[in-house]
Amino acid sequence: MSELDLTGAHPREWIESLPNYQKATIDALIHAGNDLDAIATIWLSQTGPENNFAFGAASNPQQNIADAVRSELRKLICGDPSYDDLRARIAMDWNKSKLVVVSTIAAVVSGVVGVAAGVLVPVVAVVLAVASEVGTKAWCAASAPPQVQP
Amino acid sequence: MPKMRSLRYTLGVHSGWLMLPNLAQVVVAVARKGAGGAQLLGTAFAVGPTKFATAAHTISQTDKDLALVFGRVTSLFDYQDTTNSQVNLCDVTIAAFDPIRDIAVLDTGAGAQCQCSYTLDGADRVPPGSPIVTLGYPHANHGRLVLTQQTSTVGARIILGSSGIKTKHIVLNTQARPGQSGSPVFANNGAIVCGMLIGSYAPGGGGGISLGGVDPHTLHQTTHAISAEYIASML
Repeated sequence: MSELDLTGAHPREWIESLPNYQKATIDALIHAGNDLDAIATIWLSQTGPENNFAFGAASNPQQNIADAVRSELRKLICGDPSYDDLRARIAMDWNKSKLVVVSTIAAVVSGVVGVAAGVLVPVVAVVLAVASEVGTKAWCAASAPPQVQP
Repeated sequence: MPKMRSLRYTLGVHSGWLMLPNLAQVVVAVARKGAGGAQLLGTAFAVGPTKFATAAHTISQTDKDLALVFGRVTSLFDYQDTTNSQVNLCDVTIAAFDPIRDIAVLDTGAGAQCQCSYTLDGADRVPPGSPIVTLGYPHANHGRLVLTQQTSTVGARIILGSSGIKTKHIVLNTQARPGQSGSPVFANNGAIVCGMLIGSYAPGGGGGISLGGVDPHTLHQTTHAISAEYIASML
């Protein structure tokens, strides 16, 4: 198994690659005291302001898919064989813009977790920023699921 | 094969009342296709030639089987036939998504073309007391597909928090119901969209008690609309 090679990627590059409105929102969330890991969860679990009753017509509110997305990104970054092809594509696209890499990952993962790729793009960027900052091995070790005690 | 469509509208003021007769063609319902037909999700309105804005919560993060409902009426002056369950659907994808501010922009691709002469503005342009008009689909949660105009005034301009981010909103002095999320809020005789309806005030977001499917906390005239400037920034 080979981990996703993030060598040479500055953490901030991933955020800077995003459309301006997403970049501004992530920066505002950082300024409000949220760390990048929390921002990924917020992006996937929150909709709208506090103390607001939403007037959508559907009875099925959005599901919290943060754990599922994080699990798939962990597979990708930490070398799970199911993402060998995607890692190879990323290696080929590495010298293109970071948004190409982020969008490619979002497109693949969105098909697995059942949300639109456009929703996942900033989440992928944030997770890659964290992994670039701490290093792939450290991120994989820190994000490993807890071992079940016999 | 989606049908190409060109939509235009005009605005008019008659006897002092704001009339938005032809906006019926640029304010549409959002729906999800399923085995039993189309389930209505909310309201959307044109913000570009192929772009429509709606509230992010209406679409639940996915554009699978997502569509807009076109062509039920050509004008608000028409009688809307509630016995007719046939709809024309146009597939859409999510072009931009901001869950913090509860905004999604949908793209029709080649499925529909719109011309909008109103501009997206913001809450700064509508101080309390300003007359406003909303167009949307109240009671869409029951399958009711009636484009409804509500005339009201701005009650207050407020800042709401979302994960530490402060965002401008407008309080509308009117009562809204499920299905109206995504409704445009027009001002200046329809020349601008100053906001988009997203819900109403409810302590803790409501959900404590439901009587016949209605949360009593929402039975008031403190409707929330997010400032349209945030939509403009996503285009």
